[in-house]
Amino acid sequence: MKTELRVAGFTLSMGTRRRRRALVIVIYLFLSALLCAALLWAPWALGSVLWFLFLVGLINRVFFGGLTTRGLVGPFASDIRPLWFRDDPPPASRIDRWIWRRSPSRKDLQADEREDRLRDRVHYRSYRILTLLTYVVWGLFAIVRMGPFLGMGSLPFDFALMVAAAVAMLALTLPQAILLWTEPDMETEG
Amino acid sequence: MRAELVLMGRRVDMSRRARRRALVVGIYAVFAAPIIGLWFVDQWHSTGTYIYRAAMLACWLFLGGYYSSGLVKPSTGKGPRRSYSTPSLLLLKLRMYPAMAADDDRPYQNDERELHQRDRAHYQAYQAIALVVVTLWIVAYVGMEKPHWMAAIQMTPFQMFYGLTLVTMMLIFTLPQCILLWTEPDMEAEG
Repeated sequence: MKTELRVAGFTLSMGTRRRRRALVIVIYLFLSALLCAALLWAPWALGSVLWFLFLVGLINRVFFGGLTTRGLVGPFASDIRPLWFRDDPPPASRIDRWIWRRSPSRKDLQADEREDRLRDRVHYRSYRILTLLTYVVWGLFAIVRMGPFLGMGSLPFDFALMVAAAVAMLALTLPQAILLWTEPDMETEG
Repeated sequence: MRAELVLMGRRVDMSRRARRRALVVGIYAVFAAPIIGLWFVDQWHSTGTYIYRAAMLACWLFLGGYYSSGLVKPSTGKGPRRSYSTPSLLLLKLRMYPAMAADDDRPYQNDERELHQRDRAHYQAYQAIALVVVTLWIVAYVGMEKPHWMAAIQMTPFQMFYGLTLVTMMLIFTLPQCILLWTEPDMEAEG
């Protein structure tokens, strides 16, 4: 896991767990607010695949990492690497050198044994949470199918769809968030 | 992971990977039958929960993971609940009564290597399940926006989504154990 986050030219230290937890809270609050706003004012946006993929992709790319080579958490899969990734030695042309400097090194992309175990452990935790959430989605859609529920009228399909979207969003971000949440301060570790 | 499956009083050797793979294929093939069959009964309206129960039954009898019985040790490391009451006559007839539990849970606890295997299996399963969950949501939305696409398969968006959710639930409960059974090598060769 990286200790620094680079956003729009600024470098933020993320070595302390408190900061990482704050980041996780802010991102999930933002996503929750966005989903609630979509439910209230623009239900059509709940299912926009492009919007969803863009947003989750952006969050993973800029903040969380895991599924991409950028972000705080290193790539989960060892075969993830940028298209421009080249083997040593660095290329000779000036343009290639410019790209080379921006690309991560092979060392950054390779996880050691401890990181692999940590990755597997957070996926195990995430799996259990995802199981619970899928139960919720199943239950909600069962209620939608039933129609009026406990005299409260039928549950709107938009709401169930929002929950499904939230679960899908969590499925793509939860392991990274758990890693950022649980790992101890890096300064004290070093 | 255990090398033997105790089924109705009989011990079945499952140390060979080929056998374990045959079991996994058999379980998913058997699951396909009620999923398709129950659609014709009532479109999974009230019978949908049977699919979920079938997944739990497969875990109890064969796969393990959630129960102290089955091939994979329980992920929680807890043994069966201690009960001193007599098992029901049906369970006695089927020879499926639980063995007298010992005082400690050690036989059910995973060692370091098994914990690592469990976590790795969940990591692999997570990739598939995350993809399925996202697909589920996309199908739900497409079904609502383009219902005429569903006309060809004569299914309403709700039915489609509900069926997919059931399949997802079934996969969630069985996939990590099946990955373990599928990927682990022959136990004799390992020893």
